[in-house]
Amino acid sequence: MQSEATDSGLLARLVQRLANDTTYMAHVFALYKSQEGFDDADLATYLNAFPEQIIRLALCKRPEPDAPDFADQIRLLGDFTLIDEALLAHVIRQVDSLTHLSQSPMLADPAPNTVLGFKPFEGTLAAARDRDEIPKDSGDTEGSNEKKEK
Amino acid sequence: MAESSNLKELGEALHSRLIAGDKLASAELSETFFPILSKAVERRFHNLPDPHLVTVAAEEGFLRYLQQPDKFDPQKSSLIAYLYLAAWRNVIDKLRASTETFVELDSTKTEHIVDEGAYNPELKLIEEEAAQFAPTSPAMQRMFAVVTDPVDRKLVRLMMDGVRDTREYAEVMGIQDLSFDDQQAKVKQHKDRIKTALRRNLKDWEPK
Repeated sequence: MQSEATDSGLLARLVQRLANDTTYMAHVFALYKSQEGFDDADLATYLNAFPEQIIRLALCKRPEPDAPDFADQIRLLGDFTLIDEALLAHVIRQVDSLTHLSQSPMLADPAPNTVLGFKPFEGTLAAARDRDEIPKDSGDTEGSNEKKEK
Repeated sequence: MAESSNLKELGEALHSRLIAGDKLASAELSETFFPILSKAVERRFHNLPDPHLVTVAAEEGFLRYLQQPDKFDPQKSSLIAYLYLAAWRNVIDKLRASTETFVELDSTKTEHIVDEGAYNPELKLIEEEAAQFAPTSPAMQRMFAVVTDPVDRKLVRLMMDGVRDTREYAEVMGIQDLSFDDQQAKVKQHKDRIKTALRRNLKDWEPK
């Protein structure tokens, strides 16, 4: 029987290589970590998951945001990895929202207004969070409460 | 990951799911086949000056399969044999491209391996070795270390195998006599309870 640690290490290397493939959850996680300034441990803490669960999830294909069965796909991934579905959906939606916004013409070629001291993307990020996302420390989800109790 | 000692059948089943667009298939294939593949290739080329070359070759071969699964024909070989040959060729290509020599390779074995149609004792050995254990993913092992209740373990197994049919869960929980709606509600309740218990357990866990 192969050792657990060795297998996890091998799979973690695959995850690293899949980070550039937009069809994988590994890509979603890479973007989310970059957006939040997270490392692997931060992501695991945020998702209330063991590293092995994160690796397993990263090796899955990502759900398509426009798919009619998006919620079902999230539920399936949540069961498959035993990771909280609400947190998982939040990660995917944030990554998709910010990726979409960063590709918009306004943000791709921002007006020369930096004299005001604003970074254009930061304001957009805050607006996106205010409207439709769950703040990490809000306690709105079961997962967030768990983290808060730590 | 489906528990099976027959790696050939498991490979065919997972391959079909990957082709069909199943979101979980790539993870199950990776957990089942990549460690076996990687270790087999490393054993075969254990005496190369640059062991990293072998690791990378195995990774690239496996990723190529995930990206182009339709190139594998289950009628011609088992998945592990296909992956092994792909990784093996990758190693050879990399060696040819580098300044390394073939001094440490046995050319007679090389001839055996590149002949896919011939009986290949090395591939046979890999398949036999791999079939000696039912592969269990690191994630599943971790969950089983945390979840100790026998019924919960069966439920965890179903969840992590990607089973969607409520009736299978209801059977494990002994609630088949309830209406389907009640079964669904109870099953959901139990799944949530298991996830919550795992999160509690995570708080006490210290990374190694």
